[in-house]
Amino acid sequence: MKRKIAKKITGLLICTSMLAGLTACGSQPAADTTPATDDTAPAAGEETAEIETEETAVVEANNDTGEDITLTIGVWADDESRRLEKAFEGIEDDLGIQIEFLKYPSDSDFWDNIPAQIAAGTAPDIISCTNEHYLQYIDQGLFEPLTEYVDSGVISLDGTWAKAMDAWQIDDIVYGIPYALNPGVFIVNNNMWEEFGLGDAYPTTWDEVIDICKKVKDEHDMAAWCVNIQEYHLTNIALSFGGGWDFGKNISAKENAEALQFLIDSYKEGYIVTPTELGLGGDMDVMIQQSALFSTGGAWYQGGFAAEAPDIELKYLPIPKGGSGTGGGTCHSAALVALKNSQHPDEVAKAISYVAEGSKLYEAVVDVTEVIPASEAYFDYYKEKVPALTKLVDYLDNTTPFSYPTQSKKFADSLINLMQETMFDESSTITGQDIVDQLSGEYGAE
Amino acid sequence: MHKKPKVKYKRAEVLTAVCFLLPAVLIWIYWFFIPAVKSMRLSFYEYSFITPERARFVGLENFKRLFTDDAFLKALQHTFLMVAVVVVLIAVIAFLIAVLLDGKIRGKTFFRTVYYMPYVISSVAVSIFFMYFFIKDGIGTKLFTLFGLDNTTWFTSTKYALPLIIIIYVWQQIGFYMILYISGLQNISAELYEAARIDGANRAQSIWYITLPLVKPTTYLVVTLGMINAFQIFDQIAAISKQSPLGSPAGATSTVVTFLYQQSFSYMDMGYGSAAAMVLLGIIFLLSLLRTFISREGD
Repeated sequence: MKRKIAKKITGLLICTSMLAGLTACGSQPAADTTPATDDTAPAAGEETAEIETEETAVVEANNDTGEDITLTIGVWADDESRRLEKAFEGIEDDLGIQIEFLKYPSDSDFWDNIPAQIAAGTAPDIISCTNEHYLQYIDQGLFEPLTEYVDSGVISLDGTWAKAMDAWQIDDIVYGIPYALNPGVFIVNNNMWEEFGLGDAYPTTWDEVIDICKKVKDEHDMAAWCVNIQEYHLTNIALSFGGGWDFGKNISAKENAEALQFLIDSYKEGYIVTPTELGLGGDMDVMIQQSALFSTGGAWYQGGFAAEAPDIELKYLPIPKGGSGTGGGTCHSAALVALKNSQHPDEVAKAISYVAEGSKLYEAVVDVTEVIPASEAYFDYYKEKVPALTKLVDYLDNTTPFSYPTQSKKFADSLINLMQETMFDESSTITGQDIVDQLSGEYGAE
Repeated sequence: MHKKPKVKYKRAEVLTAVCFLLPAVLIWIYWFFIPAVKSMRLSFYEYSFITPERARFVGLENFKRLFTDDAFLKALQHTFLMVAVVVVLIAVIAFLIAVLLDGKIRGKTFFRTVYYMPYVISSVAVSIFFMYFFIKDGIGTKLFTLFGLDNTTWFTSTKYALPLIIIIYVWQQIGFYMILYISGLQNISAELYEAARIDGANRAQSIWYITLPLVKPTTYLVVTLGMINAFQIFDQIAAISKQSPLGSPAGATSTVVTFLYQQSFSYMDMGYGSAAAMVLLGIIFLLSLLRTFISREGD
């Protein structure tokens, strides 16, 4: 009898605890007055990657309304969070707003998680992102327009570099406040260059690059050029040939076909090495390991090499010219963006204004990450503080926006898949023209 | 025809059973049934979870689109190929290992632990470990060159990436299925082997005429579980795709699961992704029915 009673009690206890658990799982997010805490982690059951939540030094403070407001900022790169942490220092004391950072392991985790988090009501209030894949998220309404705050003077855009502003102001609607610029460059390992005795003249055209590749292959039996088969690098090369995607209107241009064919041929000749075939994560890893002599990249190489290979001297050259192109690549323009469904839109605008109006954000961009600030007034400050990368400011004028079609992620995946198929499958007969024609068929716009 | 005698349970027993079953049933309803029904509904919609207000009923359009989408058909083809190979390999290898480790060998507990261990290691860690084995000039690659295969980095090769996924998956899962077989083997009476030995049967004949028929229920279980799990391989593919699109290189490792994940979460086309999920559900359901039918016929 006692056993029976014990069984029943156990069963009921388990049942009750499960029901309580389920109720908790299904509950809605707390009311808007509740400060976001570690609960901003993705809801159970979501297909989300691990996200670290890191609290900045927090001083309990109240804003004008007497509420404790905590804003979360989503970032995926360590250097990005470091510079923003520095830029937002003091905001608790000045505005009574606490800032927390949500760090994502990679950009793909970042972009895959943000939409799901918005749907689940756990997304950050602000994100830092670039103008590379932003169009599809703007199209989906993920970004909150900031136009009214700009028009009313809450946020000032005075002095912002025009091309960056163009990238973030679409159809007269401001979707982000640009704060950092990163032009695409051609990066050479100067130690290897000198060791191989390649002379004083650095290449200015892709044909000259190939001549060097031939020499390095003959004399050192290695592929000199590292190409990461990713949309960023492929776009840089397409632009340098005079091509580009122009939001889908220009995909099948002969310049794009020519650029891709040039890459395919160079790979088949053994002049190119890709990070994946070496089991490495990216082009910078290949360069750090000295498994290639040059690659396309950006100012982030400076910080990466300072940490991993400080003895290697890098040369930052303009992207070489190809075909009838004039060289020049893309330019990342990082911006602070207010996400849809933030519980505190006005505080978001105030927080963005707080860092964008003074010198803090731009100085942090330079001091912490050695990247060009988006405000032209700080270009000289950059040149003074980062003499090794001074020329990057000059390269800005010859850059072109990414201009992917609206379905940018899908477009990028298709581009990468087609390039991989062509390069990694020895029997493939696909040409650069076939690739752009296929892409144009799927993503072309009038 | 004999009818099963009706067992009458006392009210208290029924209540106890309900109490114990209810939590599992509730969890199943909440975490599986409701999402499955929602997903089924979404498959008839053009739907993005970011903009639910823009949802539009499209009827069977998503399904029509699926069967004219080369990427989906390629993913489907890879899925079937992978399931067929994985299930056969797992069933055969796990059975052979189980037979070996069920016999009188020294250190069999040690070996059982060793074979089971990969199953509890993170799939991503295992995949990364294997990737370094199967790099150009890597140990794994060189081993296979002895059989005439190319010395190339397997995970960047459109020819070898899928076999690499199969190798990683089988290596990792084999321990679990081995345990199932061992438990099946332990239910076979030793007297049967003794009788066969007296009748002059050798080891191979004992396995063929005694072991195999008597572990048939376990084999059915292994095939069913192996099939269902193989249809859902994801981690290993995500790991070898690294920073490239899921299913890299060039979609050579794409499966229905990676396809539906990409559509739903990367491209935010949840309706289309749900349609792919429904097709997968239908395939698994049909194959499970077929397996049940075959096992009944066999019995």
